[in-house]
Amino acid sequence: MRHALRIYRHGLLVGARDFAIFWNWKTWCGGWMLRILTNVFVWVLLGRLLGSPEKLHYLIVGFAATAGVGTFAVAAASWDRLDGTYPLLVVAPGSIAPALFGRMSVWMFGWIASAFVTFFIVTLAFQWTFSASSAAITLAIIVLICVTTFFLTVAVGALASLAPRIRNMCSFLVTLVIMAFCGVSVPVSFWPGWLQVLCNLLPVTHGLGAIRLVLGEAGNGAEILRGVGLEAVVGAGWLGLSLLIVDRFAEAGRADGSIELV
Amino acid sequence: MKPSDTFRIVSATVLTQARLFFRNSQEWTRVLMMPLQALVAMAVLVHAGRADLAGYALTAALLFTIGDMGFFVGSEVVAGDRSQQVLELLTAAPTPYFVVLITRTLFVAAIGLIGFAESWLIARFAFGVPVHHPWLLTGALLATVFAAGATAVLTAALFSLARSTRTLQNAVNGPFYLLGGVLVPAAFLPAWLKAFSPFVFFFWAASLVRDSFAVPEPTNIALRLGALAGLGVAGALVGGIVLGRMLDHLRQNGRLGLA
Repeated sequence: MRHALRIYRHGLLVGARDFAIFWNWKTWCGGWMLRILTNVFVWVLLGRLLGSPEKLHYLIVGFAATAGVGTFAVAAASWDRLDGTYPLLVVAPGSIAPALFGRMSVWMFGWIASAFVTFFIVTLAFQWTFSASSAAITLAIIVLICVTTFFLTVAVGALASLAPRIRNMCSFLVTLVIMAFCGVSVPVSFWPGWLQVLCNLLPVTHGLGAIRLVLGEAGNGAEILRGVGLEAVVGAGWLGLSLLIVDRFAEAGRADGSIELV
Repeated sequence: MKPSDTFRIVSATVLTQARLFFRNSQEWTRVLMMPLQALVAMAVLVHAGRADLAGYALTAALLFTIGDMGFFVGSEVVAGDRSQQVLELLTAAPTPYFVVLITRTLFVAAIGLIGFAESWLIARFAFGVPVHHPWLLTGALLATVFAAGATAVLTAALFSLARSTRTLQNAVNGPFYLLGGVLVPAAFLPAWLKAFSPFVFFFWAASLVRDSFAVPEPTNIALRLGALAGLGVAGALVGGIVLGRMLDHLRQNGRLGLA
């Protein structure tokens, strides 16, 4: 465990370098946040078009709490393959998981920052105020959503790294699926029954539901805790699955000699 | 250049760009994912009991795809040529690089139309949205592709100088979509922001495409199509000037071939 943490820390440092290649604080604030905020406003304005404050609030919560969530990480899972460092990670005695988690998770911290900033700015822009305790709980659940989504991206990223050419497509797909099916734009109940089952197995769905309860008037503590608990369980499931598959995929590559193939 | 030479160069360029494009599956992402994006917008409208506004969702899907193709893929053309060491050869050749570049960005923007076809299939068969003014739609689509491809010359020229193309690529389309009222008409923007909308080609494109899905007879078509095409021409002209400056600058520094 101690070793795993050390490897994770070094992976995170590599990730920090990746992050710095894309963004410095000026381009992150001016470029990235501009993109995220304008995108959120494009969608949130639908609430204004529909003329319903209720819809407006629904869209604000959905799009602001998930702003930027899911971006980059799936693609980052393939970068070791493209950099040629993947075979070294595979032959190293430890599991590949901590190194992979480290390099990818830097993007998760980016999501948390994006969602926090967006939530603050968008609610301010639409003059929506709520108590400090509601805000604090909301931010805490946003962190949870980012962590659970991160575990999903590790699993998807591990799959995508088998065919690194489609990594960006997978990354885009993850963010779109979250936007469509996890209660961001419309309630999960809008979709057909079989799809609802899948929605409930995805991260974001339950956590976002809990945030809606926190910010709404009708929410009671037990229901909120249930949402948070389910979100954590779903996240744990994806964590387990990703731990299960990352080393298998690496081993399979070792067996058929494809670890150096990109 | 004789017209036959121009034709030969343009067709060769289109062929090259097509080969480059179809070989690179990454660049297909936006086209393939478009139906899902249309679905999200459609779901919000249908859920709110406003299926009559489905045309808005389709308009957004179309413009997101054409815009993403133009800005995201098209803007990379010059930077790509530079990092693959072909920019030196292209600029040394007698054909102006501008001709090659605009042919390629127009081609890439036109690929965005495939995304629209997909969205239309969903709308037609899953949600039953009819097109009331097919000729207007056709005209608006062609003018939009032209404007997007022509504007991409400007962004491609600007981005090629930057150290990190990706950073700018990511940032540029969001504000344009918001100002242009791609999903929700610009009329719903705050007044101070709305003032900028007519200078964004998406503004005209969105209003024309939306009207082609609506029942009422559209008005001022010539004026609006003219504004859309005019912004395209302006983008191409400014792009041409910036491109010339940029190439001169790189030549003077001996950095044409450097990534």
